[in-house]
Amino acid sequence: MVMRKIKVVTLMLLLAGCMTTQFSTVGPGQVAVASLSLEVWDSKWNRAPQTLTGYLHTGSEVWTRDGMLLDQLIVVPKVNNGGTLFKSSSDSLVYPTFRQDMLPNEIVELTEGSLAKLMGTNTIVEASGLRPYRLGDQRAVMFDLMVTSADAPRRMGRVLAFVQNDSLSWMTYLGTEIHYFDKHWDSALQVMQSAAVAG
Amino acid sequence: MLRIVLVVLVSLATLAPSVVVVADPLQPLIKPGYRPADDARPDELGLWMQMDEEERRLRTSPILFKEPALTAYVEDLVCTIAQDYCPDVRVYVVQNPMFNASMAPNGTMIIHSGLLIRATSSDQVAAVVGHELAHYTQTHSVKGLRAMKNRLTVGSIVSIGLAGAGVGASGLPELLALSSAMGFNRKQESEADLLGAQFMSAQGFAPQAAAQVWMLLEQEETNASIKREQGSMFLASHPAPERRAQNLAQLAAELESHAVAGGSDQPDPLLAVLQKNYARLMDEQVKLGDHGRLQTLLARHRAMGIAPSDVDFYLGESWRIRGGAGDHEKAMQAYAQSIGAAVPNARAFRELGYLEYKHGDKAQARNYFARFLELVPEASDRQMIEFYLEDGW
Repeated sequence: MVMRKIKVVTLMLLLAGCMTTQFSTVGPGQVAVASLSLEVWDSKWNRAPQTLTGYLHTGSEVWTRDGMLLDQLIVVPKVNNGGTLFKSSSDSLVYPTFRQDMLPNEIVELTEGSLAKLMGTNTIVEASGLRPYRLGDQRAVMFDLMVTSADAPRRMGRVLAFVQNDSLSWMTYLGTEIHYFDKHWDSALQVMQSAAVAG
Repeated sequence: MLRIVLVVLVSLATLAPSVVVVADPLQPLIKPGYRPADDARPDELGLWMQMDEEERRLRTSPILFKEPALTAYVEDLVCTIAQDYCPDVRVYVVQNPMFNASMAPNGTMIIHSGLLIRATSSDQVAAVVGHELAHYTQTHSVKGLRAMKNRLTVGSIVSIGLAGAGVGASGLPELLALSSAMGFNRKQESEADLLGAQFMSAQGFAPQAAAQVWMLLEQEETNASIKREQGSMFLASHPAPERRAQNLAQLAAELESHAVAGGSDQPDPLLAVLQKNYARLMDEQVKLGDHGRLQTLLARHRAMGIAPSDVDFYLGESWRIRGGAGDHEKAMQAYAQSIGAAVPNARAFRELGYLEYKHGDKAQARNYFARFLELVPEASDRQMIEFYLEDGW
């Protein structure tokens, strides 16, 4: 019964044009992802449609260059105190919450816990290499991820996150360990490094 | 209330075996070395082929828990229980924080690391292994498949099941979980309980451990901060926990009266295996973010004899990560206990450093951070810690 309702609502949203169903090109130039401003240097990034990113809160986006199975840049522009990185789809899927006084080690735990829940228990998410990072005047942190699944190529990731005005901005680039992470990391880093909170 | 009933049932069964109705022993349906003949029914041949293929993939799966001592422990235990079936069974421990085990008709057994960290004795692990082995010897997977085919005229039931469960790929763990959840009925589960208990008790394992497994799961669920969804796959095919514990306790009492060997004076090898892999096993549990479950496990580990400095460290983690009113203070107490041990858990120094920093005592934070780096000079977050030592956020 619940599933039926969800399907009906989804269909209505699609028909109403409220939910995107196609990939769209991102940039080049200044791109706003909700309150986050990003600089995109070429036109090779593609924004994933909402039909494929139902786990994201409104305002967050996923971009890819070679397809979502191979590489993804996840941009979560703003998580307020008590909020989560991802949107829960059931009562038993409880994501860890962001707290405004979190220290860098806790941002790592927030990331590991959130991705582990998002990807399920047949996926191992491990973070390492926590280090300070500078975004202009903004202090940030960067750390590495390794995502190992039962039936998918191993993926490497790198997270850049910072807290400004008590809200978290969080960006993660994930790509297959073989080829795609290295292929697009520099492009992803360019985008991530350009992040600035508008206003 | 349920816990009280279960405890009473087990106690009664243990103390007064004479009042228990004696069940007829079950016999395995297949002989050791069984493999379907070429002229066997196509569905069984097909299932075996599919499972053989999945097992080939599993052998190189990156989620296998590859640690020699742990692997050897599980393999030895499975072989001890399987006896003549030992050459037919291949066991794989996969890194998965949830409690589960499964067995395919071709002899592939999968045990989750989350099962091992929840067991408090080898008898309990043996109970699960015996149960899965019984599914194998009674060919429950094939029977389950046939029952499903009778219910549904679907060409690819498994792929529909996977889609329904939100599983994108048809890996063996998912396949087995689904086949057991969808294929085994409660009668088969009860059969597996009975024969499994026979298998384990024949090798001197305490059969009442089977009931304990269910009591521990029930206790964990009661204490959980995040409850399982109602009607979850895991519970759907299994008899109600209290009924199951009752049946198993009765069975244990009967089998105990015929036990071939008594308990051993040797230390339980499970303890050494858990201790050796404790950080890896518990880090998986921490990521589940369930304070209640974590606390339940830690109380068991302390009673089992896991190093107190490690138990205290994870106790600190459970309080710190929950982060409610007064939780940080409890976390700091637990970490302080850990670093006060003869062999402290080095990570407790780092976490104390972060908490002291958060509470404004930067000098004390630096002391802890410095001590952490002394103990773990190759720490992957060394840059971050050095940043705190020099400057701070």
